[in-house]
Amino acid sequence: MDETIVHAYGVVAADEPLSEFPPGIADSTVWVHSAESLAAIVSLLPVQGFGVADWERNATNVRWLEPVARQHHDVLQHAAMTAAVVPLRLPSLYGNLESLTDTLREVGDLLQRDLRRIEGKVEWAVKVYRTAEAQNPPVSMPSTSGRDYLLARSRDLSARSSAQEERREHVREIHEALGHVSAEYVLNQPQDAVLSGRKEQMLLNGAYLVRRTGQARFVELVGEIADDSSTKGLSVEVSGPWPAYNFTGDAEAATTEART
Amino acid sequence: MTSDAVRLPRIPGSGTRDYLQKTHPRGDSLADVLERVLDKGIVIAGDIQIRLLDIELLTIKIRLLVASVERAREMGINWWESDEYITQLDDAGDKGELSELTRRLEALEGRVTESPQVESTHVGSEEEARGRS
Repeated sequence: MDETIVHAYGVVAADEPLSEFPPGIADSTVWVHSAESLAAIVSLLPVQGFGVADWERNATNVRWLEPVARQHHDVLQHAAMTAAVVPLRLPSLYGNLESLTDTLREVGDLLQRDLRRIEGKVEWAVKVYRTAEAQNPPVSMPSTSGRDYLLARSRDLSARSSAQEERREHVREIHEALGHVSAEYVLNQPQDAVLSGRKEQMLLNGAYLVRRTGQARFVELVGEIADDSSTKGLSVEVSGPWPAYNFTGDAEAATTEART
Repeated sequence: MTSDAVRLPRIPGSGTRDYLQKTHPRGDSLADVLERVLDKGIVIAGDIQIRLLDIELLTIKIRLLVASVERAREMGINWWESDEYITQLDDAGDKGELSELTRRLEALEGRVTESPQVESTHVGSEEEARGRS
């Protein structure tokens, strides 16, 4: 058999009944490797094509990275549908299973802490885009003199800046309402328009850790917020459930202030 | 099985519960997936396969890209050029954070070229602020 390397996708409690994973990276077979009370979701990758040098060389090659990233995610997504899973950063490579087992033992406390943190919860993502100016755009009167022009111009500017202020306030309210029904939240950098695939400016890129039993309520609330926001020049998008990518390994993230 | 971005309020009429249980075709945006799998999650380097510096470098590149495609392009990052995500260029990033990221990227690239393999086991994720100001 050709030389292989171990890739770990995420960590779960050893007693999670997981099976029937989708194909892993490079269509590899995914299984659960137990080490005492923890277990890693793993597959074997061929060193030829997925060795260290390949990862380093392809780190910014999206054609190579996209299928790899998606398969890594698909495996975690499968696990997260039923289990608390701590996602590992891509790539997490080990020379062999013994080495992985040793590592799991070494950092078991930290992993257990993260597992407790996300137990019974999943991540939902909410993005808010600015779709338009407020519904009552300032209308400049035809100016008959320089003085009239300046007055009108100044009214325009202050109306525009108060519209911006209102929008900011509304985004803050949206975030607070969602945070209120979430266990934790993280505010990420709004994505660039090219990446988001949307012309509209992204104003909020939030991740919310939501109880599995509270998901319906969360999505319903987003729906109400979206209705309310559409008249304010904002569009609201939700996606999920995601594995709890944003809620492991960084306890401070939960205290992030709203960025609006 | 994948998450699906749904532009509300058009949740499928069959009800929220069905919506939650629905199996979606692959619909995640590449940006959302990359942002998560390459910048989130816990870093546990075992018997060192990838240098930690490389991981951090990759992380910073992802953040730069997320914040401003234009800036990322200036830094020589241009993965998206070949795909369909190009709609328009819009430099809406946070300048303060970008210059900080740029500074760290340059510092790291300097270290990558001069530093030997990092052999120690490292646990935990990045301490520094991620994508906030």
